Amino acid sequence: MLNYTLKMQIKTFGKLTDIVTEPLEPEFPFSVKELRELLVLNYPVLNELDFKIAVNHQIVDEDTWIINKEDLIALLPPFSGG
Amino acid sequence: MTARYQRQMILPGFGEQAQEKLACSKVLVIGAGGLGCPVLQFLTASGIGSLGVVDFDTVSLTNLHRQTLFSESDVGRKKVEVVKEKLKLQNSELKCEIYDFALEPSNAVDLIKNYDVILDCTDVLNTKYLINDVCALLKKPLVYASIYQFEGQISVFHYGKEPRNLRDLFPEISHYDAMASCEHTGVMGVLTGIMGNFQANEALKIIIGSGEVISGKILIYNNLKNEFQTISFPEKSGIFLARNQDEILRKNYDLNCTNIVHIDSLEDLQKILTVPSSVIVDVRNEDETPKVHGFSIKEIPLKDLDERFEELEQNEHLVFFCQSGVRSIKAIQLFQSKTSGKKLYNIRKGISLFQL
Repeated sequence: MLNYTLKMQIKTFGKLTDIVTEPLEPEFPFSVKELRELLVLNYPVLNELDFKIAVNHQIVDEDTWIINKEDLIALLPPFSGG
Repeated sequence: MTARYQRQMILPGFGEQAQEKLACSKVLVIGAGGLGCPVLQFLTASGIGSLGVVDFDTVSLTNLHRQTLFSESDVGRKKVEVVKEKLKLQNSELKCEIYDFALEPSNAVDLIKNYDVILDCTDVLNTKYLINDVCALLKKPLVYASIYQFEGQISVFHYGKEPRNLRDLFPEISHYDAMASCEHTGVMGVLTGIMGNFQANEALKIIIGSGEVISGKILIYNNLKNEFQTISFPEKSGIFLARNQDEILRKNYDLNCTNIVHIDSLEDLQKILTVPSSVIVDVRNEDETPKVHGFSIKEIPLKDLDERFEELEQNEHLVFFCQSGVRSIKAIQLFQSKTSGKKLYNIRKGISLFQL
């Protein structure tokens, strides 16, 4: 059994809530880019969807930003209703 | 200023000056639906001097649970006409200009340039990008809101010292999102009401010049969980920024494509159907309702159209429809890439043309 503290809860919005349902178990620290790759690997449908990754309530540069254990992650897709 | 605004004028930092600013302001509301109705009602109540309202649609029964300006007796009437009537009753000092057409690249610049603050109350992603791009070009503050089921997003673009753009968040519309944008999902009237009021609130702060405007951040509200989350986002380099109206016209918003004839009435539809080789194609998924009765209809979901193309080869006049007129345009574009010489029609309003 994996160490519980390694599980990372991800806050999701919009239709991503029905897609990303399980916490990830990555090895910290890792980059936002790696998070996106891991998400797409686990949920291939994300390949087709547009979404932004927020770390601690900020959209960050995916190529360079490093995620740590305590960070709050959120996935934000565009909405279109009105 | 009249006594009617006394209760807001006695607020700290409000006063006569703020009320005067409201009276002098010109606000454009694009879309008189779930978001637009509360926006229009509260802006009118608060004493905005001049309101423009854009909407091409008519009132339908399924609008009534969330579009609070409309009554049962308004079903079938032009939305903008009802809006003008109701708002004038609400506030006789209001100047209300109505625009009974769909916002398109060809008319957006001329319309938006006459207003100080723009509110995007539409429900089609492609239109939202068009509004964003025109507001970026004209440097008009844009109050943006969008809904998905039990969640709403709101942000203000093209405002202040560090203006942001919808494209800073989502640089281009993904094909999937554009298509999903027309598959009507459920929505609670109170949520569009709440988000519309958020929009009216931002517009008032922009005009009065007080408080904190939600620029550089996007607020997401979930009405089931009562959760608010604010996410800030930086400027993004390399996004599309039109330098003039021509670049807006040349940008492909997938709103209207060449050689498409739009059908807006049942009479026009009947005329086309008198041609022997005509066909109506429903490109919605098989499980989408309501079904259309009383017409001979071929059901080919958009996703299958490519492989079932030959089923339509015999037809010369093809009428496409979907839920709201977005996927039917995609279907026509797909058709155009594979064939020529056929006459292609789009039912612009989607399923509501059939008055189900």
